[in-house]
Amino acid sequence: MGGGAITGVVGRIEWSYFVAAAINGYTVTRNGTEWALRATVVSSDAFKLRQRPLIFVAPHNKGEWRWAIRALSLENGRLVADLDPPLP
Amino acid sequence: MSRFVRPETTRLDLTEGDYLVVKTRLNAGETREMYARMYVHGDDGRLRPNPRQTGLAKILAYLVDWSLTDLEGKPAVIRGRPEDEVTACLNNIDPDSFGEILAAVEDHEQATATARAQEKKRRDGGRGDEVTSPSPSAVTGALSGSAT
Repeated sequence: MGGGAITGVVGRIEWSYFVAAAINGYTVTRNGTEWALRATVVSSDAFKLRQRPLIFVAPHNKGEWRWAIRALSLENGRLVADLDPPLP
Repeated sequence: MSRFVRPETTRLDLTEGDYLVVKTRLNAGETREMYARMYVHGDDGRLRPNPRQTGLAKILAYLVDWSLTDLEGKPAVIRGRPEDEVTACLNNIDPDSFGEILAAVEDHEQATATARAQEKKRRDGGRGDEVTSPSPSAVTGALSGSAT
């Protein structure tokens, strides 16, 4: 069980092939088996954000990390979400 | 049956083993956006087809992913990429391939529209039976017997 954080700038939340939210600035933290996301949302689609499943996508040099979102809240552009472990 | 469009995809096979992944159906916003790209306002204020955009607008509206590779054989990634990047990719493929992609998307659009029209006809036919007024006796019971 470990802890730690990944920070980045560009990310997105997908519902199927749609971008439900565009993110500029995020932190993913891990505390044991718990994963969480805090992010700044720059644009979003309220309908798509209410659909499931939602996937948080964080691109990096060699591809992208993906997490399924378990629950989220969005207030004044600040998004907080509980994540499942990273998808393979 | 929901009136919302479920985001499902369909795979369309191309020649040389390539394929496209396209949206099975467009939603209202995507359809409006596609038409907005396809037409321009003329000097007289009337809408005219924009020949530079007509095919491109349709492909952009439907295309989700593909198997195409770049000149070095690496995947030409378009999934989740901004629209201007996908447009740049489409502008750099050879005209025959662009035509093949457009034809595949148009065939898919036509097939989907035909299938939906048939489904709607079948559903409306069924509902038509349901909304036919029942006979008075079915509502009130048989009108037999005597009043007291």
